[in-house]
Amino acid sequence: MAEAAMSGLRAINVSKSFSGLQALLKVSLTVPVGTIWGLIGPNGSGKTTLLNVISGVLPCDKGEIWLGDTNITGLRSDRIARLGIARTFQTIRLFTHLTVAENVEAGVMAVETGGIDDRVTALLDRFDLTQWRSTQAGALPYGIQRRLEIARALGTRPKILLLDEPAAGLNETESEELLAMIHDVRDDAEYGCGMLIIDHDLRLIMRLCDQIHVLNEGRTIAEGAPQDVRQHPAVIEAYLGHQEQSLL
Amino acid sequence: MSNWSRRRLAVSGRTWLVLSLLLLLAGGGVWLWDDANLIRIATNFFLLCTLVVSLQVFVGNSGIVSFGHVAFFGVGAYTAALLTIPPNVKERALPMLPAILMNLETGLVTATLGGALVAFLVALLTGLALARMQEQAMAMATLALLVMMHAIFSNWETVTRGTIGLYGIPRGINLWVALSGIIIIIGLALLFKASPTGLHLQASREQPLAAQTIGINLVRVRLIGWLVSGALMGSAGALWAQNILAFGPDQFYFVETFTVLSMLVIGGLGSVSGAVVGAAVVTGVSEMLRDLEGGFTLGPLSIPELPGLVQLAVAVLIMIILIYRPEGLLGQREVGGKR
Ligand SMILES: Nc1ncnc2c1ncn2[C@@H]1O[C@H](COP(=O)(O)OP(=O)(O)OP(=O)(O)O)[C@@H](O)[C@H]1O
Ligand SMILES: [Mg+2]
Repeated sequence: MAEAAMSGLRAINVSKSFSGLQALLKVSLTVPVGTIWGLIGPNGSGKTTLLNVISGVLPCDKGEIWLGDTNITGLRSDRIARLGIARTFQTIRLFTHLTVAENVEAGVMAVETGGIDDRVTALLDRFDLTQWRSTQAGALPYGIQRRLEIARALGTRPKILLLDEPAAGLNETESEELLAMIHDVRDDAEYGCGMLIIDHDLRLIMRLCDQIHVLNEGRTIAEGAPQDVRQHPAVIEAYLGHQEQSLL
Repeated sequence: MSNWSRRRLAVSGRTWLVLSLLLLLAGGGVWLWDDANLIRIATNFFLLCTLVVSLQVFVGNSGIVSFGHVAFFGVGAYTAALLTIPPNVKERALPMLPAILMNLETGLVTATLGGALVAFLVALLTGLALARMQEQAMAMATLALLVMMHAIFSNWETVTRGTIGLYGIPRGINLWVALSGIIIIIGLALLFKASPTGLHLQASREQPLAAQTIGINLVRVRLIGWLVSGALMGSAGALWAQNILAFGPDQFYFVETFTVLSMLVIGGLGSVSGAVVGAAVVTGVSEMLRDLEGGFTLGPLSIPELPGLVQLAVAVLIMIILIYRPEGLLGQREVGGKR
């Protein structure tokens, strides 16, 4: 476990503000390879901002981010991606005019040095995308688009995968499929990695994750196993103001 | 080359074969028909295609409009002219030319590769700055490039003879040379499109942010696309110069930029085949209207001269296409290529 933590992701005292608005304040988080972490919190609590800072999409003001024993603070996002952090987006960002195969291929080509076609075929197969192979990504049903975005990210063979509301917009069945898929990925011999998942569907998060990190107004208010976090007073209080997301 | 996809290469190869065959049929047909005017039109069409296809390499894959590529075309044309004009003509036209250039007299292939090389160097110089810019800023900067190069062409009298322009270029081009040129350039454009850098440039066109988060270096892929496209444009200019034989700086400016971009838009930005189709449509429309431009009689009606008719028609055509087929006639599709 200690070894897994060393090869995983560590954010240390990360702060980020947008002209006065403190989006993140001294947030620390460790995601070991092979574990699934949930990141929850009310709207605007800084979840996406944390993902943006980790993936290099936004620079952080203070703090450090490490991947294994590499300090990746302040690196360009494409460097961070090649070092082993992949992500998806809250609003899907596929290469809409490219085919499903090309979307995956673009990720594979960015990191691999051979056997591209076999890798792409295997990935499409692994994620049940083969039948869509030549379809333009923008024309896919929503649920398939979400799955393709994850497959594209995994094409870069990440050590850490960051998922921003992967179940948003999916129906019950699609969510269940996604949940099963994410579990499979963690234990997969080839694509196994550590994952940090944001979602508003708390039932899904509780079932999916090994550990949960809770943000409120940019600060960590709780961290731990799902059953502990669920009963944490600060978490209940933060969520009481947001009735539509009651903790059950 | 290890991260190339054989599948992509095979698909591109098929497109190349089909396009080459179609152009070969067109060229062969015209040659058999043996009509001097038709041969002239076909030769000009092939040369025009080299331009549009070269422009497609950058604009189509990156999704960033370049108003500056005609400058590379000019650089290629001037380079080829300086390499091929016989020394005795140069002594009269360009008495101040440095001795090395004065005594040079190369053949078609060297002149064409020379045009590509010098255009590549200009692209490198400008691209290092441009590729770092945001999309819109980059498009504006390409416009600045066009104006800047036009100023150089018009004022560097020692080498370009200023606004008067150059003459005396030996004819290196015939129908078959032009056809070979376009077939080679289409091959290179398709090869680039199939390459990892080509795919990454297309990905950055669709979603720059997501492209970066799967490991794509935006500056790098944009710079490479710019260089390849600029060099090809230079070779297109060199070929063109060896067909037109005399030209001046005003042939590399706004009207030409508009014409080439319009062909690309009409055919479909995202497709090499589209570039060829766009060139074909505009050539067809222009040739049909050119006769009308000089005035004609329609029954009892006598229509006087209509200068500007061709440009007007092309402009209207663009608007119609943009309304009904915003992605151009072919969109992202390539002939003969199932993706
Ligand atoms: N690029 C940005 N520029 C300015 N402000 C931003 C930016 N990104 C986020 N913010 C602000 O930072 C705060 C945190 O936003 P963030 O998107 O991280 O929240 P979130 O937890 O992901 O919320 P949601 O659940 O709605 O997705 C919000 O107040 C938001 O308006
Ligand atoms: Mg968010």
